[in-house]
Amino acid sequence: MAARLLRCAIEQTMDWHPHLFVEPHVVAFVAVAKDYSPAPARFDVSCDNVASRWLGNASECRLEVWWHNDTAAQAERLRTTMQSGPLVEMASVALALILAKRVVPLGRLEVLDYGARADYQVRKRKLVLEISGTEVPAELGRRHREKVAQARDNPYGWDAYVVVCAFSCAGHRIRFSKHSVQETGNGERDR
Amino acid sequence: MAKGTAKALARQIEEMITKKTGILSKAQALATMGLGETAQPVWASAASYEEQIASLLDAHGDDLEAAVHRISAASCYQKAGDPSRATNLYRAALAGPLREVTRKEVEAMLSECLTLLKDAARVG
Repeated sequence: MAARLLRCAIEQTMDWHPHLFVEPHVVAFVAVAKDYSPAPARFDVSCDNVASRWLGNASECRLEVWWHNDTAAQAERLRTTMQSGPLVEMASVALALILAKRVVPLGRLEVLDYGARADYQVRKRKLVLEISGTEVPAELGRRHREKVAQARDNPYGWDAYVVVCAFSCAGHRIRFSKHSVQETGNGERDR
Repeated sequence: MAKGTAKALARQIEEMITKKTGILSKAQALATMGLGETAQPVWASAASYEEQIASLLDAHGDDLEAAVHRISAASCYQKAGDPSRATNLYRAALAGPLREVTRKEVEAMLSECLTLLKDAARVG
């Protein structure tokens, strides 16, 4: 059976997450994606342990992301002022915001600052969301493992979703997974 | 705490968190884009919200969440160029019921902040 297809415009994330400052992430996404192909950018998404009504029993789906011409013009300007690393990280946040709305509706995301990183969490559902991105496809597995470890160490001991995006000429990929943090006897939560 | 008071407090916390999230996500985006100077007052504003949220969470009896928001407040003050306030908030967070892994991370953040303060004192 063919994988389900999710089609959207990246600008929709601004409407889906109105309390977050999403615009730079949207522009960053276009800046990265348009280097590989004209719109749409297509992603193979592997979903591990993700319970989703939209996904059903499937463990993978396809994501097709479009963008507007005026966003592409803004992206040109941003490309000249930002380095690739942070640009890819911001682009990945925009993609994660699609998944956190359309594949698993997580609800209202809150952001916290935690040293060198931003932590996304959903208070009502007691969940955290870790996001990262790379332009080196071979790094996808390692980066995902790192993020899973980081997510499991979240200050609350809450369950975690992890989204890692790999942009590549050979085909963009996303790993989307959910991880539980097990209770241990002394109340301290552990891996 | 009376049920009505607890509900009102929870609503106030939610409102503050929503406002703070907008401000903090802006500070983070500006900083990532290399606009550090523009981001500085936004960091300070986010930090102030986080401090207030932490106090409200204390009043609501959510000690762990309060401690985590103090870490976030400290981290924001540090980025706003106020390591002194950041130090106090890291210490306050460490007095809360943190996970062992978090405690170690916050101790490292506190140590980094103290180094910043010492460096500033040396220059001053």
